[in-house]
Formats: sequence, structure tokens, C-alpha cells
Amino acid sequence: MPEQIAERNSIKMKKLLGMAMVFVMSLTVFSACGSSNGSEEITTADINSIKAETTTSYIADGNEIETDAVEKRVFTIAALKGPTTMGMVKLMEDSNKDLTANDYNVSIYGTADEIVTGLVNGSIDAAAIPANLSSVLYKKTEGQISVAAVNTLGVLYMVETGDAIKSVADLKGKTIYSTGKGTTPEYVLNYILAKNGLKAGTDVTVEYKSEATEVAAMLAGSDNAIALLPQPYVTVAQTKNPKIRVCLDLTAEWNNISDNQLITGVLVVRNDFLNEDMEAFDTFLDEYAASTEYVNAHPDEAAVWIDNYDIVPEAVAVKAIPQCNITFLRGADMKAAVESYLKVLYEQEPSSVGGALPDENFYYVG
Amino acid sequence: MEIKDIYKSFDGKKVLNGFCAEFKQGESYCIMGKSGCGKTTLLNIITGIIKADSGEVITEPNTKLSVVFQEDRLCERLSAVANVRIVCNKNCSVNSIVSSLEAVGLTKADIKKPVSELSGGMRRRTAIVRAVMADSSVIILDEPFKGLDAETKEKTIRYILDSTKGRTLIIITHDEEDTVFLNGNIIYMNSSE
Amino acid sequence: MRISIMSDKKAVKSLQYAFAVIFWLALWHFASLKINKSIILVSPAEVIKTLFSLVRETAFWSAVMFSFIRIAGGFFLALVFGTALAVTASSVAFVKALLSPLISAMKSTPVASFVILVLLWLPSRNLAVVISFLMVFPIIYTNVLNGILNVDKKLIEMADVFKIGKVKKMLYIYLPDVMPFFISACTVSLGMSWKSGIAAEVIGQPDGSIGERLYKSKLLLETPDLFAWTVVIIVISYVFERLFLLLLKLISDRIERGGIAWK
Repeated sequence: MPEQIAERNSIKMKKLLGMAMVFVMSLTVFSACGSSNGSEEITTADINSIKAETTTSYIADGNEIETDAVEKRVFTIAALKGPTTMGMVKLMEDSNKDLTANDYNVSIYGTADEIVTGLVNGSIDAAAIPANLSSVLYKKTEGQISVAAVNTLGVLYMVETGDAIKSVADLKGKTIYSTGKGTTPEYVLNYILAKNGLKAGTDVTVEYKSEATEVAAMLAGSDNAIALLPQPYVTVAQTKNPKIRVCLDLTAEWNNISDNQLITGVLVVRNDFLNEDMEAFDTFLDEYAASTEYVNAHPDEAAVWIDNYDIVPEAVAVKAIPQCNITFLRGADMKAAVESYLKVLYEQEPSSVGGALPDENFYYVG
Repeated sequence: MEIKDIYKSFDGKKVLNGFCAEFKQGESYCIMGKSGCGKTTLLNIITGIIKADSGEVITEPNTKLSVVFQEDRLCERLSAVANVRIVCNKNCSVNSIVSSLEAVGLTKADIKKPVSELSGGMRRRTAIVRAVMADSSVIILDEPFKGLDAETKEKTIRYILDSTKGRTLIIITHDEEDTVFLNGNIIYMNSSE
Repeated sequence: MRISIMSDKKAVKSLQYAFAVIFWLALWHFASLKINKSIILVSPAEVIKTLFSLVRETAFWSAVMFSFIRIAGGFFLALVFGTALAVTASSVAFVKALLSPLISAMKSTPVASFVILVLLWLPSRNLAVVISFLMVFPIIYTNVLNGILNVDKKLIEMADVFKIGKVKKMLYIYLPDVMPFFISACTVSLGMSWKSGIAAEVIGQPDGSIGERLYKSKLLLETPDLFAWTVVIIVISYVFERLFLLLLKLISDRIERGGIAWK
């Protein structure tokens, strides 16, 4: 007689994991997929050997060709939707047109969850991820990945709708809206505040929202709101709300207080994949470096591609590219930058880098 | 209490056609009639559950009624004692309730159970005790002895007569025998009287 | 002879349940061994180990307190308001009509939408209170209202004839019939308030909440922590539910025996 109401709570956001779901999902997913020993799934190794066969036979039939019998190695690359992928777009374009030495299949993800899973189970070969996540992943996979390059320096900016902030000290007693709790923005902000004599939580209130759009909404609602946003979302917000002005460049502030660089994104690679063909990987690094240079030099052209890949609209990308500090550091430069950045993070909160600083084997210097 | 010219129809069918009666304080009355002649409708009008089409029921101010309904209308989950207690005011003690219930033949075990677990006859008797113990000047009983065997019926009638001295008793029944016991005035109802 | 068969049946049932639990635990354990990558799936043994180290942290207990107080608080607020408004709506038709579309909307809106909206308007600190309330309120309201409207009309008429006072009427006529509706509403919404409250915290990440810890453990790939916290949430939800329903049963039993109003 009492009313039976079946209430189902469907939660769709990727960020929420139910225990049973993880349990059942992992069972089904991983019994189906298997590891990189490849049960039913065709791995990159298989594709590479097929390509090798066809290329070789072609050359055998025709005249002898001067160029190397280059087997196009397939790279399955993952990237995050955001500034860290912007340097890659030329590479992606060229690969689609078959102009690159290797075959780059780049997939862009909204969150790092799938990327982490892919790196762990071998379906992703290389990925552009946040720097601190690379260290965490190194620890958690017990050394199965290496960091190969830095692709983005600092992208964080303090913006406001008023006119109050001219220096970091002006932040005292204020409320800042930000994204990225538990990741780069939080650590960078806390570090900069600390070095300027301010403590987050007591001297400055930071309210974390889960999306840049929420932060933008807070800015829209007030004439003296302050927020921390990464590019290109600063430009996105400014397009919709002209009252927003950039008051602090956190990369510059970082450089004021520290000798090391503020880095945001790095390129990591699975060691198994790397060891299969280091030469091809070095070529990849070369081509990626070239792509980054091109994007920085031709923002108009790159903006079109960035729009096509659905990262941000063209108009935003054109303005944002110079402020995204897209770069390419490899080898010893990369190692120095990453090491010192991770150290800063470690001193703030060891778990932010996975509990311990990574050892030498973390760095692929070529 | 005086009933004056009550008219009531349902769906065009005349159930009460100018019914009149006078009930004097302290006296007993039996309303007799075959099923369907409007006895229960009359009861509902007197108690205010439904409204007459025309006519009035005139009572002394502050007259309290108690009723034994045909369907019992007990609180199923409560015990017999609790059911009686609800309608009593603070003057009633649990002991007096218990002895009343025992007087009509319920055992100590019976009166502790929820009334949903009692037999029809026991429920009916509980309803009777409830109506009697309530602080009322007029008690109306609608077919109160239905489902009671002869011995129990006698006990119950004795209890009623003992406990309702000075109060107006109106018993609706179709059994001629009852009227003998109750020794009251008899009002006959015919269909649409 | 009969008695021993009855308790044997009970024993068999509990034994069956125990076996089922062991089966799933074993399956989990073997799965984690096969996958052998602690990021994806950790063994039950490791989860228990992590749990033991977690309960030694003061931060653990303060997080549990933080979330529990807020979610339980939202639940109780919903009980109070849901019941009060249902009582009002049962006698004031205007209120009932006014609330009707609002309640429907609340029932069909998914948790996630609520969370996102509330986060736009409020800081994350008391998010769980609001979300827990929003999930539970429509259920309580609807059920209590239905219970009240379902009370036997004949009994109400009887109460009017006997001129039973308002308080007694409420306690003895309405309450016993509304109670089953109320209890079933609570049963459904207890678990839901807890789940949706934690889910909200995972999105909004209020400082010092369980949801924040859950999210952080995902972020930092601390999969044992993730599982351990999930176990914690399940345990708390279960305990809270059991305790509350027990309390309800005690109260409703007392009422049924007619014992509440008088000593």
C-alpha cells in the first residue's frame, strides 16, 4: 500500500566513480582488452609490421629509390583539450596529409582520466599531460613512462572585472575564483602567494569552481571580482565579457621569485613503445618541435586548425596563442626545467608529484 | 433532541420524506425498520456527516453525541483500551476502561491486542464500550448487536443499561426482540416515511 | 521441533549471504591479480590495509564528520519541511496546487544539474546540505501527502462525531496511517541523500569533505585510497540507514501501542 517509488540517480559526469561501476567495468573492460600482449585488439606493433611488409614489397617491385624504405610508425597520441595541445596542431594537419615521417593519430580528450587509463593499458603511446600528473603517473606505473619534452610554459593569468589589483600584494584580503583544485593552478597560486608573503586560505580566499565557465559566471556577476584562469579561457571569457582585464601574468610573477621556469604541459611516452624504436621517436620530437615553431610563427593559420579540432574558436585562438607560452624543450633543458618545477611542487605537497621526486630514469633526454 | 421534517434524496430517490421525531432526555428509543428504509441516512444526518436537503435537527446547545457505527470505525492498529481512551477525557481511568471491556466479555489478553486482530463480535463490543464511556448525553447505536451470540448479547445489553442512566439512548435495529430488552419507546420507519 | 526448523532457515539464509559476499570478494581479488596494475584495480587486501591507515588520520575523521553532518542535516531539514508542507497541503488546496509543478520538477531533475546550478550560486562549503535536501524533500512531501490523503475518511468522521481533540486526532487517526508512507519514503531517500551528497562533493570539492578526498585520490591516481573511501561511504550510509530506521520503528511501535500521549 505505501507508494513504491523507484528513484534512479543517473550521474553522468566522468569525474564521478561508483565503486561497483569501477569494479564491474574494470572486469569487463580488462578481460576484453587484455594487456599489450594483444588478444583480439590490433596493436600498433601489428600495424607497423603490416606497413613494413607493404612498403617493402612496393619497393621490391619498382625501381630502386634513393629514399629510405621508411616504415611509417604509427603513434597513438593523446592530448587534453586546452593550451597544451595547441602546439601540436600543425603536426596533426601534416600527419593527416601524410607529410610526416610517422603516422600520428592524435585524440583529444576532455579530462585526463582516459589518457591515464590508455597509458597504463598500452592503448596510448604518448600523451601531452600536465607536468605534475606525469610525475604521479611515473610513480604509480612504477616507472613505465618517461617524460620527453615540455610543450607549454605558464598559461595562468589573474583577471578582474574591477581595477584593484596591480601586484600580488594587492590580493591580500581578496577572494579569488579559480579552476583546477588539486592541480597546477592550485600549486602555482599557493607558491606565488607564499613567496609574496601571503597565505592561501587565511590572507587570501580561494574558491574553486569545477569549470572555467563557472568562473566566468562569477566574473560576470560582479564589478570587482578576481579570478585565476588559464589561457585560452581568459580570451574566451574576455570575448563574452569585455569588462575582464588581465591584471597579473603568473608566469612573470613566477619568474620574479624563482630561477626555474613555470611549466604546465609535458609530453610523456610509454617506455615499451619508446624502446621499440627510439629513432622514430626522436623523429617525432623533431617534427613536434617544428610544429610548435610554426604555430607560434603563424598564429592565424594555426587558429583555423585549432578551431577545426574543436579546442577553442578561431578568433579566440589567434589572440591566445602568444599568451600560451607554447614551447618545446627537450633533452637537458627539459630535464632541468621539469626537475626544478617538480621540486617546487614537492616542497608544497609531496602527493602532488606522487609522493616522491622521480629519479633519473624518468627523463628521456635522447 | 428534536428532528423536524427531514427530507433527503439520493440521485432523485427519496430516502427520507419529512421524517419527524422527538427524543426526550434520559429516555430510550428504538428506531425500527427494514433494511434500506433510511435508518443509517438518518443517523448520518443527526451526526452531521451528511446534510439534509431540508429540515432541521434541533438539540440543546453543547450536546455531545456518541455513536456506534455499523462499520465499527475503530483505529485498527490501536488496542481496545486505546480505542476507548481516545474518546474519553482525563476523568477516565484505564482501570475503569478495562473493567468495562471485561463486563462485555473481553479478556485481559484480548484488550491488549490491536483491534484488527479481534473477532467481529469483540470489535463491535469495543465500539459499544467506546460510545458508552465517552462523555455524551446522547448515545446512538446503529445495529449494535449484529454478530453477537445470545449470551454475549445479554451481557452487552446489561452493560449498556447499567452504564447509561440519565442519558438518551437511540438504538437503530431491525430485530423485534431487542426492543423487549431495551424497554424503550419504539419508532417505526417505513420506506420513505 | 518446529522452532529449530525456523531458526535453521534463518541460519541458512545468513550462510548463503555470507557465501555470496565471499564469492564476490574472491572474484575481486583474482581480478586484481590478473590485471596486476594497481592504478586500475587494487586487491581487497590492499584496500583493507589502506583503510586501517586512513582511520588513524585525524583528517579522516574530520572529513567524515564534515560530510556526515551536512548530508544528515540536509536529510533532516527535508524531513521537517517535507512533512510540514505536506500537512499544510493536505488541508489547503492552494498550497497543494502551487507546489505540485515544483515537486515534479525537483523529482525529475538529475543530481548533476542541481549541483552545477547550486555551485553557481553558493560556495561549495555547504553544497551537500542543499543537494541532500533537494533530493529528499520531494520524496518525503509526496509520500506524506499521499498518506494523509489516504487516511480512512470514515475514521475522520468518527473522530468528528466524538469531537476528538486535534492533537489526539493527529496522533491516533492520522499518524498510524501516515507512518508506513513516511517510513517507506525515508527508506528510499536515506541512501539517496547520501549518494547524491557525496556525488555533489566530488564535483564541488568543498575543503575537508569526503568528496574532496575521493576526487583527490582519483586525481593523484591513488586507487587504493579511492576504493577505501568508497568503502567508508558505503559503511556510513549503511550504518546511518539502519540506525535511523531502527529509531523510526521504535517510535512508530510506541505510537501503535497507544503509549505516546499518556504515561
